[in-house]
Amino acid sequence: MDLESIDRKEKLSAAKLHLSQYVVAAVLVVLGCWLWRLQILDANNYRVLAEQNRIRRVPVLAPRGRIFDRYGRLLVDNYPSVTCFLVRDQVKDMDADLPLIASGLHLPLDQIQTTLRHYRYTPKYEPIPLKQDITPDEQAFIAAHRDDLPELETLDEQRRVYPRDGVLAHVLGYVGEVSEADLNDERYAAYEPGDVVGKSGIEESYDEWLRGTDGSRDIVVNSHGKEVGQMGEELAKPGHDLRLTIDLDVQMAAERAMEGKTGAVVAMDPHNGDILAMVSRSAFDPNQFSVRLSPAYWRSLMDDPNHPMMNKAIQAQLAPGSTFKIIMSLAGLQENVAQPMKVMCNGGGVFYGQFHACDKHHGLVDIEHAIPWSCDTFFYTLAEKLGIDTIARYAQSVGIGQKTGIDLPEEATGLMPTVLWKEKVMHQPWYPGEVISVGIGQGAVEVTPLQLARALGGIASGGVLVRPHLVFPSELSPEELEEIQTEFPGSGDKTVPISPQNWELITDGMAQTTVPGEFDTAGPEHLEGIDFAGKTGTAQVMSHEALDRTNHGHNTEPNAWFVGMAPRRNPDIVVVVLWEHGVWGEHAARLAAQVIDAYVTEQRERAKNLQMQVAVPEVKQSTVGVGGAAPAE
Amino acid sequence: MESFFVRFKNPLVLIAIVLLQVIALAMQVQRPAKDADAPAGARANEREGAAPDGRNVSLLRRWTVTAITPLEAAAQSSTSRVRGAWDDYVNLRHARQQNAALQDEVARLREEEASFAEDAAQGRRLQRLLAFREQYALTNVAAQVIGTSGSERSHVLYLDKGSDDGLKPDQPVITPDGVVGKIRDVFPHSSQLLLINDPSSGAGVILANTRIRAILRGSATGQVQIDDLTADSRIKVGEPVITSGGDLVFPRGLPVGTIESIAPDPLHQPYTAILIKPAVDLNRLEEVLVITATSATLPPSAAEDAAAAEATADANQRAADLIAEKLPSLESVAAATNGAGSGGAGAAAGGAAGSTAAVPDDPESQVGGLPGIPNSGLPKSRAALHPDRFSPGAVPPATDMTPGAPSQSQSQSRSPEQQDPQQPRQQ
Repeated sequence: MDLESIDRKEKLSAAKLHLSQYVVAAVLVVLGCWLWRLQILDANNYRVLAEQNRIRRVPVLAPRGRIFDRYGRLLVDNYPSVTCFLVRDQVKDMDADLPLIASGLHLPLDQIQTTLRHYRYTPKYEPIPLKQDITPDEQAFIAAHRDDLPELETLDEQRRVYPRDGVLAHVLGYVGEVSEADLNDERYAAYEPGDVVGKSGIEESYDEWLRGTDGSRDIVVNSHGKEVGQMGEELAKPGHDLRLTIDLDVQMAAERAMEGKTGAVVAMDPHNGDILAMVSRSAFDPNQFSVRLSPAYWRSLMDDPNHPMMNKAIQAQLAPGSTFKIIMSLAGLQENVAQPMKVMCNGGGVFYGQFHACDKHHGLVDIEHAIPWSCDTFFYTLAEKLGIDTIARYAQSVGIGQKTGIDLPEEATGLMPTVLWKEKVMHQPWYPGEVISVGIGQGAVEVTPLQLARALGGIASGGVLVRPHLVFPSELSPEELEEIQTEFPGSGDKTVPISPQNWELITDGMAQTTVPGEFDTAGPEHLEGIDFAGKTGTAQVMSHEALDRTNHGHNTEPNAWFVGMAPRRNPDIVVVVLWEHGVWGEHAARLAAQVIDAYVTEQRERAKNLQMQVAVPEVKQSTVGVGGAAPAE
Repeated sequence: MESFFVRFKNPLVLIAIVLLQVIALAMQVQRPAKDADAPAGARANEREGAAPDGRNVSLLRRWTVTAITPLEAAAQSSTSRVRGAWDDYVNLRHARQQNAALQDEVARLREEEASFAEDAAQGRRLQRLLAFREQYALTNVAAQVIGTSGSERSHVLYLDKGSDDGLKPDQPVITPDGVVGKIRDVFPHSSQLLLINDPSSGAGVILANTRIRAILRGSATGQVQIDDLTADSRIKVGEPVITSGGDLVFPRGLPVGTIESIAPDPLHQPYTAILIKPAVDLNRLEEVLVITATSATLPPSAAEDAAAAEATADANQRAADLIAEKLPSLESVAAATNGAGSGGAGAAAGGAAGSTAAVPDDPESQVGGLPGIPNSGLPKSRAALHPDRFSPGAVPPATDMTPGAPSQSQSQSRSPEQQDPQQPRQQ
């Protein structure tokens, strides 16, 4: 029985044995293949997956470079600040934690929910910035809840501090989080959501230079996402510091001159294009942009009729008024039209059947008198003789109607009307009578203060025009310089031929402007001991007819212009002042005089060429007398 | 016997000769008798037969003395020992019994003392808990530590109170000495206490003397540390650390510990690693208090502390403003040009005064000006010592000039006083 059964079993086994051998072999082969796949083919992949689970990469933000003036005085600094981030891949049910997070971080609950919605399509492993510049208490809250709110992360970063009171606000610009629209732009290819970028001014145009390279920290986390150690650290590389051509002494004089006014001041060195000062008022506070901007502040900026966000020095496009007469003189003299002209000014004249007024009865006027007197009648006549296209040719040769190419974003072009322009853009024929108001810088002519500084500074320098800049070209590498110049195209460096006689005539004429006497238009704006030349401009905001129709609500006082320079030929400084609704050009001249005086005083002080204040010795004597008497008492 | 001498005749003769020679040598060799090891008697003997300086003691004599004295000494001591042992036996016949009795006594007293001390300590603890509860006017639950988590890395204890006793997660746990930790997970009759030295622990604290705010963290090694402060000479070892109340877990003003050490942290520049010695011995916890609710009114001491902390918080908030004051602003110009301003204006000017020192005009120095419009007048220029390129009449006729040529001092204005932007002028 036993033997039989064994036999039978053996027989059955023998039949199945082969099959089971194959089955076992097949299973082993399959398992082997899987093992091969897991351990060898996909090993890297799984290792990375495992590491990602275990190691979390936390960015270490690089501080932006600081900004200094030309003498190394600090203009923009950083301060340490902590930002709170939300890491969403740590927690399954985050909604339950939100009320606690809201109370701890002093944020409205719906604001957090809005932020979450805003980032809902970004990958889970990317941290969401929740609140910037958190207080020590909020930091403590995050630290004390690290076990139950592991989704809260903090990040130390450096935040911008700008000068207060809007000083240099438009030049420096501000920084902010890169916007989604920017990210699609090629220029911002290297940026990631949440990155801080320069949004205007120098911060924008030199963003690549100022921003450093972020580092990172690999932290080891356990299965609960809790930090248990650190693997490695890649240090952040701080951004480069930047030295501007701004001279803080001149800048502050310009800032003070514009205090409480609207308009712009540009001070430039016409030799090389160094911008010494640039003011635009009214201004904004860039510090408000360093942290999340409050909607109320933004609304107040947007509602301000004076456009505080606008850099009027490069973006205001306004009629230059009588300052344009310098360009008219250049055209008239170089065309040899102006020299023989003798115009009888009886408070105006009739051109193309219409009376155009002059503010005075100047009598018989030639070009030498016409510049300091700013005689409208003379320039009406000159414009009539030259014609619009000749005027436009000269105006364009000194950069009117073109960007200057300054290294600031969003420079305006201005406008120099021509016959072609009127036909093409306005789809209207050019009426010859229109040239008359162009002759005194009215009509369709529009300039920016910077254009005017470059143009008139160039004419005063004998026709050598320069590309204005805020960063010394010598401090940039040739590639960076080329990049900047390609990014900000403009008329750049250029030389316009001016005969020495014409150069002297125009510059001497401008010098007469501020010399009290027969010819002055800004005689009271005389600076003792300084060869201060210039040209006033009083530009009507609207045509007389428009003024009559609509002057409700709007300030219709004329804009006051002044282009000043010192010394008169090959000037070291040219200052353009635009005082919106400043009524008279000579009002602007006073502001320009303050800036010129600050510059010259500074230069003389640096050269140790300044007299002591006169009152000092007398005061000293009297104090010595008192001091001597005191012990006797 | 004879055969022995015959057999080993030669070697024996050799040994005899060598021995003789050694003895002869020893008799000749003389060594100074300054050996302190020699017995006092031997030394005296040597002196008698030797020169006063002890130089003429022969080596053979020394050997003899050295060989004999130990035997003498041994005989002497064995005699005295036998005598002593007899005396001891006679004197201490009952010591064994007494000893046993005394040891019993000591054991009993020790036991008693320990139990008294325990009672007293417990009494004191409970009394302090009671006083503490009254002082801080906090609603709290006293709990016993009943176990540890056992892991090296996590510092979690189990308490004998749970949700049935009103415990909830995030409630602070303290002893009268100071902060212990907070409640993590809560079960009906027990709960987990997360100690402040756990790596996932944290608390907002204030350094009690300097009023600097900081964040306390546990570490994997079970230390309590502050790692978010930069080097500050005001912070000293031994400074007490108290809770700031800002973290919404620990009420304000509870003692945390004292600063044990301050060292730069090379891995975490520019911050320093400040180690805290916890006020509570976290390894020997027995009774703890779980604060289940804080009263609305602070005790006077805490209220005082709160006011002080508030003032410091304001100061901290203005850290950015302090940096801003170093940057140019319109007020600083006004303050600088108006001479020595008083108080805050002067301080504000301090930062920027240097940068604007060259601005010569103050509002009063302006001439004319439009009514109601600030800074609309002309500046009073300071005269030059000698004529320069800005002086009237200094400009040559155009025919003598090159268009756009830089003036003489053009390069001057850039190079000599130009400073490295990395090292701005210190104001």
